[in-house]
Amino acid sequence: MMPRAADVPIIEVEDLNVRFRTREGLLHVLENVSFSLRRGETMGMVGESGSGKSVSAYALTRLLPKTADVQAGTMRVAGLDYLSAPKADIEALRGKTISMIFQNARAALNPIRRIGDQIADVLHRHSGLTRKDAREAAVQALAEVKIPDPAARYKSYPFQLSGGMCQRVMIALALAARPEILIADEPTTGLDVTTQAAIMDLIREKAASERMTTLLITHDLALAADYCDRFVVMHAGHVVESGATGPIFARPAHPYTRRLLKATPDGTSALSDLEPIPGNLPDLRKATTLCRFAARCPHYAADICDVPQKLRPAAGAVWPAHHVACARAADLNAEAA
Amino acid sequence: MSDLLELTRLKQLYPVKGGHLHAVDDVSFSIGKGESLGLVGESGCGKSTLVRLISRLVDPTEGAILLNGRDIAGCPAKTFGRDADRRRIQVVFQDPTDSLNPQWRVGKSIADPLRRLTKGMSEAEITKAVALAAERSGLPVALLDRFPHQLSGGQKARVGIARAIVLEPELLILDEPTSALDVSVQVLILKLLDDLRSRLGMSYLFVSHDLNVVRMICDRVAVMYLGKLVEIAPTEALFENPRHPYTRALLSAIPGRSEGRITLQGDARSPINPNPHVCRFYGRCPVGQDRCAQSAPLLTFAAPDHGAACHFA
Repeated sequence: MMPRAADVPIIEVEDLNVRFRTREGLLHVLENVSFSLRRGETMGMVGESGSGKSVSAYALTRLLPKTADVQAGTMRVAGLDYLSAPKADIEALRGKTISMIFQNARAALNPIRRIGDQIADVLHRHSGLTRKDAREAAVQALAEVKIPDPAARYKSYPFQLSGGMCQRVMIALALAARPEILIADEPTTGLDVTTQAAIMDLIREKAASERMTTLLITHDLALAADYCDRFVVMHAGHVVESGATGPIFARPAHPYTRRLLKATPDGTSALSDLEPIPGNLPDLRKATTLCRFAARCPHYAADICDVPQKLRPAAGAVWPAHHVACARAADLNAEAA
Repeated sequence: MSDLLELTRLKQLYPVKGGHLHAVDDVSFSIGKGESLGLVGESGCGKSTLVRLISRLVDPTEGAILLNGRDIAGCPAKTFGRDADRRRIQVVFQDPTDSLNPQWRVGKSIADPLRRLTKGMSEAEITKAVALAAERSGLPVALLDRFPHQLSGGQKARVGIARAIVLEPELLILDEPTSALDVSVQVLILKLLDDLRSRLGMSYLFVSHDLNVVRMICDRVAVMYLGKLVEIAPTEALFENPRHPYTRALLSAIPGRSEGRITLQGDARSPINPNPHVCRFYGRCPVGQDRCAQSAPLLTFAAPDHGAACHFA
């Protein structure tokens, strides 16, 4: 039986390995990372800084520097096989098929061009509009991201706008060509909650109305819970847990996910209830498929844990799509129950 | 609790083309000794201007800033750097990387306030004071010889805190001290700050976007909107029983509280030459009525410690 179109993932990544050549040696930044997104789905990617979230995004947009060595079992985006396709074809996906909201909008915008012109450029190039039509559409795009007085703001330079405004311009820019896939890398970090909510609602609206597939990269678990259907938790270049949002929050299966939740203020906890996660990210200069959380994990047991980690269905999971990469997940789950 | 800091009718207007931008408009509140006051509001509401005013980096247009009863608003920002009260107010800045001199070893950064604001300290005394501040901030003394780029984000945050407490200030202004940190490090820094406040008896002005953090750290919370103080109350009263419609919208936007979200429609009013008879929130306010466009509400107190500036609060 042919799978239905909706079931074919628009992003399919299996065993993605990214290594950086540095003066201190090879850094194993991503190791056997696998995830997939179906069309129209919003998936979150959460983890501390240095866990490899942004590198995953850059691998999908092929924006990694030359010092990166990228290997994968499967890597397919919007039907294009990254492993065999010519570089030019992959680059041609950017803008129209796959688009990205970068961290730190002010730095990502061109400081010496008017913001409206920057959006018009995208429309001119990717939507085939004439310069004049592109200008009008750019004003419309600014209005869509709720920038007051868009015609006047068209002429502003990034330095004349507040951080929240720059963020909205960045989003207008990323959405201008109506991309099929949006990668949003910390789109609301540093914004106040009301602006954050407005921007996330806008992304959600677009995702629904255009069946846009969204990968939301964030360190904010509560935000991921509000806006994502599913998410993956990353730690030190490994995917440690993945599944639907509800089940992960209700019954986190990986000790790291549990610690992350325990460290996040949720509005009801007192400061004394929160527990920091001990230790730091491990040295990424060593390639290891063994658990990279071992040194920070309160449940580490040498004889059980020192085996290659692989995502397996979470023990006792009612939800088959809930996967965890922890050798002790089953007995820890039994203990907790 | 006697007051350490008292702001009365503080105003800061910036001249712009076609008039004045009212960055801080007629704001009055106080911070008690040992108290932690949270300051929240969206970007552009005047939080940062208020921080600059209180730390006396800029001169207010009008109003008084009383520190231990003395009005420091009259002392020009240019000379306040040499004022005896300067050392009583210190700031921990938002970005732990940007706020450290990359060419200085961090020990030198921590010592800088001592060299600038105290007289006649010997090198040995300075070294000792720096070591004490580092220890109080949980920064291993061995790291004092490092440069900022050799430290992690959490360690740099500790350097910023050590530099701010080395003079044992009475008021510590914390401008988004943990927004650049991961949750696991944030917990450590918040616990450190909470502990330092009780140990050193400091007062905090805690500026933050993260309302969940404010709720844990602060005794009282002040909410600003477009230059105005719209609500001020003890933390639990504010979170449990917000009176101002803007506060309610703000609280409803906290991630993880998906139900009952109040979405603000309409555009914010301009902070340039605002009509003094119109409520600043009018136009975006879900409960706004004609009356709000005829007279701007004043801060009124339903309970002695719970004020809100809304006709319908």
